[in-house]
Amino acid sequence: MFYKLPNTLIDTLRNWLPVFYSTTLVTFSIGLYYAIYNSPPDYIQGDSMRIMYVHVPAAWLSLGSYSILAISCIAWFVFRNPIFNLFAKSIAPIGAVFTIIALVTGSIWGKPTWGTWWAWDARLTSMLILFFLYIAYMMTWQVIVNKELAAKISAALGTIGFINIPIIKFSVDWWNTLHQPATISKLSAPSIHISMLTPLMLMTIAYLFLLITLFLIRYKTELVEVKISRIKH
Amino acid sequence: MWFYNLIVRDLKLAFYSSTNFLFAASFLILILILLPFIIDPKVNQFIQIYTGFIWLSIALSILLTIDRVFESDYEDGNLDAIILTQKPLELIVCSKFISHWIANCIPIIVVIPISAILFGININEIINIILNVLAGSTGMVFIGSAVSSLTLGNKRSGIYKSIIVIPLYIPFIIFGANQESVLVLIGLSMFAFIFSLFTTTYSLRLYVE
Amino acid sequence: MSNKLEINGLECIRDNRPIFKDINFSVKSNQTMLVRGKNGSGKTSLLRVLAGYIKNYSGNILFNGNNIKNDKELLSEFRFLGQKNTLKGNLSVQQNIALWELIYQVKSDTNEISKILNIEQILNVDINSLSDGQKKRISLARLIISNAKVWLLDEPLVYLDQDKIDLLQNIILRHNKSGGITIYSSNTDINLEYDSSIIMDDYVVL
Repeated sequence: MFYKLPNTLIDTLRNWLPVFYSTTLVTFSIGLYYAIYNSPPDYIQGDSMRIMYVHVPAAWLSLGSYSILAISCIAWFVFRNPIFNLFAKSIAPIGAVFTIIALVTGSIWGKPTWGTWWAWDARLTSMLILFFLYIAYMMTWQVIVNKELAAKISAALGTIGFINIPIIKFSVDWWNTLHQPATISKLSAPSIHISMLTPLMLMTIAYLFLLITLFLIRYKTELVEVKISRIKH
Repeated sequence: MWFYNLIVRDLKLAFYSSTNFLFAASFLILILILLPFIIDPKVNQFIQIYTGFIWLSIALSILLTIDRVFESDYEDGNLDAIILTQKPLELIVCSKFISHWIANCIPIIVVIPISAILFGININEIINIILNVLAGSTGMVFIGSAVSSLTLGNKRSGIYKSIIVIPLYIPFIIFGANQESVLVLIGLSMFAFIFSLFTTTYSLRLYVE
Repeated sequence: MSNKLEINGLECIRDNRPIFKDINFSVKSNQTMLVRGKNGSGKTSLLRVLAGYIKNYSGNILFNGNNIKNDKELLSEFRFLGQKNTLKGNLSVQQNIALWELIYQVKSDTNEISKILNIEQILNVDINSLSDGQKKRISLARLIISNAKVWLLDEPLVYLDQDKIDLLQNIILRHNKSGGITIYSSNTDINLEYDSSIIMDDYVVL
């Protein structure tokens, strides 16, 4: 199945990529316009709240990409089709970058809002660990020279990480309740006003398109690499 | 009997290597020597810092020695020979876990009470720490061995292993630093055992093929 | 006691590439077989399949009429000696032999082994200070102490000079006489005596 895919798939991707480029550009312009100009400042946080429009979608999608990565890894175990490996391999660096964006913007937002750059609570710690899981996954492909073996080991690793994130979150929660009162209860107010929800949703869609575009570029590259290595052998 | 023989073999190997039994214990003491220079032992809540140091040094000493579990045997071909005796791979892996735990964690556990007396920790707390270490270090050794089995035959993978292992150690450190969580640690170790057994047999099968 | 190893239509495909296919041969007790072929022709893979490392193959391997696949009892009658010498560098020869005894659950007579292998003088020397040829010779001790019936030797002649090859020849003859079978691979012109041989073709597909 996999052996017939690359040729046609690479061409299809090449044809469709410009569409994704432009969609990303358009959605980002609209989203940023709403986020920066066309939305009210928060009545407590003021304009610093606008960081949310960059931060929250990045955080959602960094978690989302890890789920995709882990599900592709598990799917590889089930179907043993190399295509799932390429899926996971292509999404890992994008997810890592989104995690960094979420962490950095989160710190910048945290300083004016809670008066601290960082707190060792469950959410932040597991985000940081998530970043290292991405790094570990990507390193696997470099550390293990034999590509077939790297595929198998990295699939195992992606799955391990999937189990580990909830465990860490649970442990840190438990640790926090024991050692210090929860300083930060919630990131955003429980109900969000429609005038803020619109830019947030628009930005999420823009981020989503960015994710898809970057993913397709990387996926195409991976496919080409597989093709080249086939020719070399 | 063969199971016992395999453990004896690994322990002999550790003993001949002349560093293994002494290594873990002296590592712990050396880390603890640094402690008084960082913080005055008479300060309140010193016990927490002391426990933290113990757990840190356990984590580090395991990280430094996990290569010995499979790596050296893999490199010179003994691992192949052991696996080709056609004994159940799961039990072979268990014997490796056990022997590594004996060679690395028992010395630490022996040294803890001595060092604790030097720092003036009271007896109840010492017992608590030892129980925690007994319950937690097993799981940590299992996880370390499992991760080291993922990158057999690769000498540059030290940092890579730490990146994988340390996040997996977070739960152990969290519950280990707490005084009354032996049961949670036992649970974690059991979970780690199942997970490590599965991962290790999986990756050993891959590498031996 | 006579043993018989029979291979029918053995085929091994790894990573979607055929390593070898349609291998047929049979070897009986007191026989040596040579596997010939270029580098990368699948000699080692064939031996590793027989040794039970690689389980992903089709075709039949019959030992005394029983299929060895998934039969651990039968598989433990096979002993593989590969490129790795299975020696611990910081231990002495004697200590290494003692460790093998623990792996194979046997007690052996070190004196006898050292006489056969002509290693009496270096019995208490650390492996690290020995030459490659000496290491190779000592690694043969692993075959002798384990009472396996089928020996699978992957390129055993590398590093050995002529008188050591004679030594290996004697060890193999001794093993075969006691009902053993030896299969070895080689791609040099100097070879041990053999009763039959098989040539591996190159199946690596571009």
